[in-house]
Amino acid sequence: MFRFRLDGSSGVPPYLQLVHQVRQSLLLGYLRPGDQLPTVKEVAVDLAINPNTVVKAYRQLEHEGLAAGRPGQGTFITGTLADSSPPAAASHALRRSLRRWLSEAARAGLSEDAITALIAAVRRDTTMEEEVG
Amino acid sequence: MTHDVGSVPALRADRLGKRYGHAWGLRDCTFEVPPGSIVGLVGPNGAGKTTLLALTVGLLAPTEGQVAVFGERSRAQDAATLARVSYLAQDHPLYRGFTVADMFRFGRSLNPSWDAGLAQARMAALGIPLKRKVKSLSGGQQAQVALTMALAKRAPMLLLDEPVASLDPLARLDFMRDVLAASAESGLTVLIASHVIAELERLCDWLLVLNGGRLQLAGAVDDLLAGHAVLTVPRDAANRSLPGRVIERADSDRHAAVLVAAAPGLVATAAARPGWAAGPAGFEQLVLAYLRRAPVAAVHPGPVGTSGTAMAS
Amino acid sequence: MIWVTWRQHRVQALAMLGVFVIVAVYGLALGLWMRSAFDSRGLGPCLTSSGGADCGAAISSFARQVTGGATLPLTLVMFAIPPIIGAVVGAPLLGQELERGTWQLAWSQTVPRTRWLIVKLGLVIAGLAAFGAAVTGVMTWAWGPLDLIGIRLTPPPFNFEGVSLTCSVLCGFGLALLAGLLLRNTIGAMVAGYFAYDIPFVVSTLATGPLHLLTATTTVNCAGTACSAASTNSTPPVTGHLGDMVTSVTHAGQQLVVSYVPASDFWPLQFITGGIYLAFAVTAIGTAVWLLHRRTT
Repeated sequence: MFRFRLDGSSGVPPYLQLVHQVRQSLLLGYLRPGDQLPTVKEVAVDLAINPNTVVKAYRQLEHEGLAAGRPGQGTFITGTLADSSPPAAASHALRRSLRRWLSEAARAGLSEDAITALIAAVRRDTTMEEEVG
Repeated sequence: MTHDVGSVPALRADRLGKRYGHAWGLRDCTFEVPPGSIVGLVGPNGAGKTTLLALTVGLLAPTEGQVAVFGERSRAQDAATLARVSYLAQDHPLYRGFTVADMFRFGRSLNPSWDAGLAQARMAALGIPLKRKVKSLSGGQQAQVALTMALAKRAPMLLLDEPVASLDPLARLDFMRDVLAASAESGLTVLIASHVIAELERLCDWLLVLNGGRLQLAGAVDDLLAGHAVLTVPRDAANRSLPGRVIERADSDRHAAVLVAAAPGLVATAAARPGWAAGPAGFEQLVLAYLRRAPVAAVHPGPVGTSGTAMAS
Repeated sequence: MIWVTWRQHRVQALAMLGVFVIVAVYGLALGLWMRSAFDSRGLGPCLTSSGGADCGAAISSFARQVTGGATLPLTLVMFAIPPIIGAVVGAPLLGQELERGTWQLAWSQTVPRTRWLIVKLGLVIAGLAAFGAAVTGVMTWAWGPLDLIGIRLTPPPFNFEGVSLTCSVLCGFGLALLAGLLLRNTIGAMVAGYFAYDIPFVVSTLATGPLHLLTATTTVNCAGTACSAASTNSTPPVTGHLGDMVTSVTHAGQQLVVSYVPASDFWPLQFITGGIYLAFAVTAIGTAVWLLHRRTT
């Protein structure tokens, strides 16, 4: 049975931590399609968290196509992360343009932290715009 | 665990107030909580948490207003009221000279709905012998016995008053695990009064913030978090130019960090301005901000099923 | 509730049983010793035939022998111990629940607190009354021979015969019960209850002490040397009736003017004393029940 962990001090919301752990285990091959995730109650009691948090995590996984609930039976892994990664050609092109952008940023004098902050700020703005739109 | 919009609220307070002599321990308290929720009741000492719990179980009579459990009004010293609610007081009082078996016999004598099998099963699972005297149990074991007494009463609502304050970290976790298991199994509605905010964050899906005897914030945790944001703005940005209501503002030399209560759309529009940014508010940050404010006039949230959220005016 | 009351007062009940056993052993020894002293002087036949008139000397020597040095300790014990026992039982009933916070447990079960209290009180008071009656019974039996020839209207016998002992136990109980509710403290309530007991004690002493209300006066004809020797300490008393308490004798020629409290006043005095103690007990207990019902803290 898959066991979750919780890091109370990480600042990441608990439900996201659960989602990340499933994603990571899929990447590493520890979880495969067909595997059953523990029940909401089992996880809630194991981690001493509200069952709704687990429900949210499992819903997020369903939304991403990684897991699905079967009524009366439980929640099962359905997808792999390979499915959700882009085709190789697009990935290659994105890598190249990212490398170009990074060297441009370095030439402009941005430090590592400045680059990270800039990326985070633009992402936030984009997300907000999407929510409004 | 969705909440049925039309169902009877597990707990409903209507302008509930309690006066001790000249001072009001609780004033003008109105809120609703859906069945099956785990409610965090947070506030500093003397905020009125214990008063609210005592009014709910019928240990106290209100000075004004009323409180109802599953639609039935709570009356002081009324057997029907007492039967609906299990109460675990601070420091988990037990009769120290009694054995564990004596405590359960006590529970059986005073509660028609007593589930003796549950009580014994829990003791067996926890490895606590029935013949042991309460005073020779550890603090964690005593808390577990007290919790068992509350659970074996088989009432649909459980009130916990600072239940883990005197326990070591392992005992706290075990205690809370058992509460969660009971809630998951039987749909028990649980109210936990505490001032350990981090603990409430992991356990609760509903929140009541009390300060100075008045309700400052009430609602589902998810809704409350979605309805607040932290804006980073230029220092000279006036409060009236900010979306929603300003809850707390911290000014630095050139910028200010402002916690606002506002709909996500308004926040996004504001954050699009140059030099402005917005991020989500954390649970602890949110609660502390409301506690740091001087207690304001009480909150009157709408019925459960609208947004279920209410914030102080 | 019956089991709960028994379990919470188990230690006290066993302690009272222990006290009773001690009293019973003492009473048995005392009673047997008194009866042998009584019989050895042939007082039984003498009283039957002459009503004590012929055996004044024997009566005096018997009384001197059996009351000796034991009277004062017995008086003190029978005065002080019963209300202490009542206070020890009454103080923790509410006082300890409030002191230790167990009231939050006891009164949040499915039994409302007023019913909890009334059932408890009923059972505990019945137990205390049984204890009082048992001790009274044993000591009355033990003191039997002395009662035939002596005065019952003053301590020691007045304190442990009749109803006064049982009523004083209940009085100590009621006062300590109320003190426990008000002070929320067990030891404090025992002490406060015991000192509060002084009030009904003073009231009952004032009511019965000077004995003015019940004092009777009579004139008795007498003759010769017996007349001049007559005094308040005469045995048998100058009224001619054993058990009368003569308070003054005035010589007037061939007559004596005698003020006395008749032996038959024993029960009226008992009812007055016991009634005063019970009135305080009932008031204190009733106040405690009413306060508990009304106080929603």
